[in-house]
Amino acid sequence: MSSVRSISQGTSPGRVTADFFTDSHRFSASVVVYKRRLIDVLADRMTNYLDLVDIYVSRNNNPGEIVATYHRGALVKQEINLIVLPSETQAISKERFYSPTRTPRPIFITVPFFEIRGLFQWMGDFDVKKILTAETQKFLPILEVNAANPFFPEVSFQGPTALVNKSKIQTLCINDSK
Amino acid sequence: MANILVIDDDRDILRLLEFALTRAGHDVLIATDGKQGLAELEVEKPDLIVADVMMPSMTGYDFCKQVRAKPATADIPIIIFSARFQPVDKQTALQAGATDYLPKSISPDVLVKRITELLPAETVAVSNTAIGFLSLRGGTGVTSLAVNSAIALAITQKTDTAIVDLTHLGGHAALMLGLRPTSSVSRALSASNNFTLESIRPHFIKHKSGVQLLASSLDYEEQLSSDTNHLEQLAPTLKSGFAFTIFDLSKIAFEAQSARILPQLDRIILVLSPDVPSLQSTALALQGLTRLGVSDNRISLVVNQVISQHALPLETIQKAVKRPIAAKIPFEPDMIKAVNSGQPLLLSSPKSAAAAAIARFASTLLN
Repeated sequence: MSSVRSISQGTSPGRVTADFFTDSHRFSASVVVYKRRLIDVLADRMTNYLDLVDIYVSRNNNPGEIVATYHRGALVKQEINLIVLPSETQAISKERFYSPTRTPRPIFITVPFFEIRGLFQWMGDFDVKKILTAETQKFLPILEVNAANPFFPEVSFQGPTALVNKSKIQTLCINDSK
Repeated sequence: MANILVIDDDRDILRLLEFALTRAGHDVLIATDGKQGLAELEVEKPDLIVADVMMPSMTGYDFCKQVRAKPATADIPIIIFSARFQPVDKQTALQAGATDYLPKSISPDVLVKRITELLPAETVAVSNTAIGFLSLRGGTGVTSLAVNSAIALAITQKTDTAIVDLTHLGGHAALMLGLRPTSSVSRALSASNNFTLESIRPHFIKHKSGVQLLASSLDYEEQLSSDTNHLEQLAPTLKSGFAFTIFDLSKIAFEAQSARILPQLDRIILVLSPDVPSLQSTALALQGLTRLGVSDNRISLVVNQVISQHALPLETIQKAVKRPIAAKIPFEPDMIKAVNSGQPLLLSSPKSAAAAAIARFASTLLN
């Protein structure tokens, strides 16, 4: 990861800006995470909602156009298909130990209205079913992600990381190694 | 250098960009939303606008459309920068009339570089600049540094750039550019009593990079002598027609007559190699420049690592010369290949570490 400070790092600390995708909409918004990371806020079982601020709403069929803006809102965590993030940090739990032995594997996932390609890092004995059940996190971090809507395949969303809602996953295919 | 209007509702980002742009020599106007930005445009027309997308009351796209709709502001370059970083966002911004689109995940330096590229050339270079490269010790790579810096300026700034080889006899600038000159500095200076830019232009030869060369003397009979007429008029005359004039001064610099050219230069680049004899020569050169009345702020020191091993550390060099080093050009094995082939390093090995270091150094000559 680059050590150069980015412009987005100039924003208020404890605030994460990302793209949240549901079946129908794209929400470009910020979440105040304080000292936590977004993946930990999503895993917080005390609430089923994600508090958003500075929300810019687009429709998935025309995701460049901003159709509405709001100061505050709440997103039902369970209804999120995926979240595309501008950096890797917020997708790795603070509670998870860093391990250099994780192996990146090409992965293909479908959730409603999106097909997602990217890399998935796994450590230890590999078992596809374990990916969905081994950890308590509700969202799966995917690196170097490219997510496309199969109905509008000319429009794709890319980023260094995405968090995919495990409960929304329909298919998961993975290769043995990069 | 230029007036930049920055529009963002995040005050931390505004502060960060104001700092980065001011440091780069620009004047910064600030607005916290699109409406305030449009009001600023009524008062003052900036040279360039940097605008966020996600702002209250008006998105960056709508702001862009409104700026383009008014004839008075329609031609101002606009960089949209946003946390929305998808290809479709760039497409939307360009459709709205933005000149470019950058994600906020970039560093401020990248934004500043892009701004420099988009600004009209005349706002980048406040006035035309004459820069001399010299060293009292031979073999420090003065000519190769001068030639490659001239190319970097010509390519990045897309402005008229001249290089003048003031070596008395047998200068190598033409050789390094792969050019066969038909005239020389001495011929240009003695050709006419009425010494003007027009009288000197035919003596230049153009390189494919856009750099124009006034070569050193071609044979012994016509070598540049220190009492050559018009020598002291050379820098001001060339400055009137070239955005950048690079002088390869080599050793002529401190001879009685030719030394008169030094105070006319806006910048003097003292080139040294990382060895003790070069340090000694540099100390003497600094003394000489002081005696000629060249102020310290016009002098920059560049270490050119012409040797692959046993180089003195940068800290030792800085301590010995008692001043900071503006740039260090790393050893480049391809440099001699570039010289032998008449293909300057910046064109033959543009991705080499030395070429990148020279390009970075050349960009500092704009300030």
